Amino acid sequence: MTPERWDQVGKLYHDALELEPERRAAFLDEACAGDTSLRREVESLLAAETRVGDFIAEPVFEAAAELLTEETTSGLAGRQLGEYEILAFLGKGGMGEVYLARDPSLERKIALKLLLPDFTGDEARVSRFIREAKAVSALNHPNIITIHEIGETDGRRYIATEFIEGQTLRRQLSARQLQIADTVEIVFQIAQALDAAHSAGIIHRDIKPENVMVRPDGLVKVLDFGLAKLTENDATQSEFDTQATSAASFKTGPGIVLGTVAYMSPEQLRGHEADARSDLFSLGVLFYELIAGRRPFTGETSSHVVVAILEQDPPPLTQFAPEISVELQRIIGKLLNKDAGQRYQSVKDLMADLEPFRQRMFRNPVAFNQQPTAEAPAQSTGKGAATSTKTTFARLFHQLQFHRRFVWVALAVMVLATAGFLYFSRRAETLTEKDTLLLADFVNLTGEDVFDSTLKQALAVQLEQTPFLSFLAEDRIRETLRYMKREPDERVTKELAREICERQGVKAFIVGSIARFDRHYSITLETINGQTGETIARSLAEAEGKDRVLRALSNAATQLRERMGESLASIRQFDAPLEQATTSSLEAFKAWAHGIELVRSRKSGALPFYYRAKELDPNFARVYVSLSLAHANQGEIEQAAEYAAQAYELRHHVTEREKFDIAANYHTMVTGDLLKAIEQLELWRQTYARDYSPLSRLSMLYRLVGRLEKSLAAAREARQINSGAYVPRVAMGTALVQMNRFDEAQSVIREALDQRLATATSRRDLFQVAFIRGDTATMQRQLDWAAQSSDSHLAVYWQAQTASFAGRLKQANELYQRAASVLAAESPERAALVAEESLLRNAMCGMCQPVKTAKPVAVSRITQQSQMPIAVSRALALALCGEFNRAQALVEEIAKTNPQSFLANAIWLPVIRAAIELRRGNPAQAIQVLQPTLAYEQTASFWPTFLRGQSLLAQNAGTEAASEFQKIQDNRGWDVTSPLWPLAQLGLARAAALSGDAAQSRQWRQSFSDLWKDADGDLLARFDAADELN
Amino acid sequence: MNRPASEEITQLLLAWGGGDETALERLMPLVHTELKRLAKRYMNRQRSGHTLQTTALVNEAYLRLIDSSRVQWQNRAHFFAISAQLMRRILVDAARAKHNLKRGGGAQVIALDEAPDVFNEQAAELIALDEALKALASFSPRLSQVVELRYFGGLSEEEIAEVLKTSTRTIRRDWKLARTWLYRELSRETNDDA
Repeated sequence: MTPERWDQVGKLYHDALELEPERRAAFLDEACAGDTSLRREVESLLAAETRVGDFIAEPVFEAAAELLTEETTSGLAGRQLGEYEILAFLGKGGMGEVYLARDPSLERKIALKLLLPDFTGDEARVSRFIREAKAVSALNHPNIITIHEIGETDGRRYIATEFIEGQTLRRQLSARQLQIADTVEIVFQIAQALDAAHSAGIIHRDIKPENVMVRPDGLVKVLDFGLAKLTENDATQSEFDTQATSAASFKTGPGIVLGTVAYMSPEQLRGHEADARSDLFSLGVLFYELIAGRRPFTGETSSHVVVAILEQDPPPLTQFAPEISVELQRIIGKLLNKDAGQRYQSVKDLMADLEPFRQRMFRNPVAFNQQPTAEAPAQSTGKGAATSTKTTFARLFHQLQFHRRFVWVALAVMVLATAGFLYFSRRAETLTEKDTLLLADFVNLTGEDVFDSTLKQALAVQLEQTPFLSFLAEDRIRETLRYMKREPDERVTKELAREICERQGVKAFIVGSIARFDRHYSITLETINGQTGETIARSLAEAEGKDRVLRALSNAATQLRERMGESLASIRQFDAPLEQATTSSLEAFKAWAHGIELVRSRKSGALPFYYRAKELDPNFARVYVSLSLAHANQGEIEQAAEYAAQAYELRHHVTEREKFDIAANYHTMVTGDLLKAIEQLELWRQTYARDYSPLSRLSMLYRLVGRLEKSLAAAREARQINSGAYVPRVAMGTALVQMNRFDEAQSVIREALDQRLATATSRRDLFQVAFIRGDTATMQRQLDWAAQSSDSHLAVYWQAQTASFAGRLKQANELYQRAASVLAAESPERAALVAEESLLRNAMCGMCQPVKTAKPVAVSRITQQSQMPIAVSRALALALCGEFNRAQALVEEIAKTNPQSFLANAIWLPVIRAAIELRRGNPAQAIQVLQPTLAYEQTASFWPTFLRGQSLLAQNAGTEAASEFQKIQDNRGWDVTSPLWPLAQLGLARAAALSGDAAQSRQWRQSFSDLWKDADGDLLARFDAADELN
Repeated sequence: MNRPASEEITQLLLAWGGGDETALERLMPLVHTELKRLAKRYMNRQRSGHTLQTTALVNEAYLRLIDSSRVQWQNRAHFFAISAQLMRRILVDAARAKHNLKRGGGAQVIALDEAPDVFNEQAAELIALDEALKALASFSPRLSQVVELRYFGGLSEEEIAEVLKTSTRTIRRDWKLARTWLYRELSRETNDDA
């Protein structure tokens, strides 16, 4: 339009408006004079004028305020926060602001929550929150929001989480009433999240609709675990007295008070510590609200709400939802019980009650039909807000409305699918999450060897990803085969699998087959009821060409999991494709699988196969883990670390389970941060509750960090899961010895021996227990066994240890040397360890010549060695011998090489530093340096205790010194053959003398002399002389 | 804002009133910041029951920024004109950012607390209004400016007449036509969408 034309239009418009409406047509007829487009323009404006109403009548103040406020608070948009680029402001909550941001390192969108300073003032609380939030996030649960990072920058704490496209449950609640079926599904998914968190010992404390998000695909995510803890005032710790204080004891930021109080449990309101049952109460409130459209406990002010929660019964649900079943009312009523003891005691119990209900919903085809009709009106009026609340079926229907001609076809497919689901679920109803399955050998009909063990291993990798299934361990299968008088490595055919199932009470087994027609391969997987032989589920996949077989197998496995009833959410979470999780190279996989087979059947020679696999596919993450473990077993710490680090590099291309494995292995082998490794293993154990591997490794690591009870418990649990494995048996024996529970240790080891599940370590433990008891016959039997074993040096080595214990150093030195030379060819690392132990024991007894003249040692990684690392041993020996500078140089190098090593930093470095201080004549300093080691005495071979005792002696603190030395006497199991044990008696004698108890002193002196009756003459003379001086 | 800044703003305003167009460019960022700061404060007050008026907002900005004893009524009107222009720019930018986010992000975005849903519609409406105003300006810059001053600046018809140096009656007629035209354009767009 031209300005001139516009002037014309404007004039006619105003003129026409001056006229009565009925006279305007005639006016325009004349004025436009046949210019129809001009007339149309003016007429349309006149028509619009009647409808214009209050359009933009008022200045833009409200929108301005909203937008300007947003803009002001989102002043960070476009800015950089730490490494993140902030894209936009998303929202604001009681805890702070949330932004959408980009993580440039991984090219992903994240949500960034900036915490308000009020909530981050208390450091202890913040660190507790961080710990919990990380632990929950690391559960990798599909229903729990993933936290990428918790950090601090520019003085502000932030939490970077996954960016969820979806709505909070609060928004869904305000948009529309949810179907009961949807509600049950949502509550069930929240319960799944809580269950995982509770098993990790973490309570949410603030379950409410604002903290639950529902994605458009129906997946529910629970946010803000543990965050509530940050908002509580210390006042909540004190006893609840009046409603006023209760209401006041929660942060009263705008909008959060009422919302928060309304979902709190009675015990939370009373200021008691919230437990799992408290979360269940909050979930009950939410459940009630989802169904009734209102909360169960209401009031005009938060104080009234508090009273309602504490004292009133909620209105019956039938008042708001007449169609609700009696059972659901009972479930919600139980959740809302004011007495925590009367509620569900665990989320699992709730899930068990909801589960049948949930299935009924899904199985009832009427429910599907009702969904779309219920949705239709919402569709025509809603502005898209309703879309994300629909169940899968409803959504499907919604989409179908746009493609009407497909409706009937799709309906038919759905009916068939439902029938299939019902069929399988009916058959599978005996198969629950608690059941174990057996994996039979693959039936290879192709005539190609490459598929023989490969496909079974590949299938195992794929299926073992799911926490839903667990498989009978290989060892158990072998054990059963032995009972059946069959060869332990016999192929497990379909028939054999059924028999094993019957014997072991295994519910079902999975068998696969592969056939070939020209270049075309077809794979079939079947789950078969182990008792009846009926097929429970079956899946098929086709592959064109050999190199596509692994991918096809992966697809078939996913399909099978689905058909066995695993939830889609779970499959989404735990289903890395086989080629990604392992390798696309069939040959590489075969080589690796072969190596694994050798290890499982306790044969040697796996390494070359791993190397071959690595060569064929350098990105095959799993191989690096296997390589790392194999090298670690040979004492090759550096190589083990190198491969562990390489596996860690590739950790993004593995299954969920392997991620835990790789991370734990990394911290064990590379950094030596055993506490972090334990954390990973604990998470693994919580995610895959029936996995043997994390437990068996925890049993070892817990022992190294001095948590003997936990070590024992983990070993016991591991034994329960895999009774045919030897690691738990050995770990139990060793832990029991260390705990001074010698009888139990003996019986555990004997049982292991009977079941052929003992190793050289078990023999050593038995030898040591016998040594304590003076049972020379048993000792001799173990020595005979060792001499015959592949580790023949052990017999000599054990004798060297007992000789040095008794002060027969010359003999010990010779035996140590013999053991080292036997070992030298096989493993120089282990030979060096033996030689070093000899040096240290000399130093303990004041024989310093060999230490002073010994060749310098290299400082290496201190990770998970159960023996004292070489450099530590040398540094300690040098310190004892007064070579302070050389000792100090080693200390510095050890500290530099091992910044994160638990053993170095928590135990060995303080011990060496204390020895230096003590010998330098600074006992007070020594005692102080030893402080951090106090918690780990039982795993430190008496060193912290002994050095503290000596330091106290040097300070003339007789009584205190005596108690240290006495601790050593009472805990022989801490290190059965250490010469520090007899030397502690000498310490006791001196302590008694200091306290003026000459008789007691003489008694200890005598006891020591008895132990050392055959000791080297010069050694005794040396100690006698030292005593004279004292 | 301290006095030297106020001094500077007054100078700039006077210069602009005197025909120096570059003064406007330097003036805008200063006013921009102040408007946003005030809006935030108003919002906080509004939460506790106060209602917000754009005119009040602009007035306060004016009083804070300008040494009013040295500026004539005409300059005040000019100041309001700048504020209106800025307000439009700020709001439309904010709305556009919000809108792009929605489109780019696909579905609904995460929010801890609830923001009213109407807000999203408002953002979309603002953007559409801005587009229509641009179209209007192509053949009638004056009408477009009237809308800007009135809707975004909260100016009264008299004040607009002062800024545009015309009669109040003309402004009243312009406003009526512009509103009608914009309403028709926007409702046409919506109908096309449906």
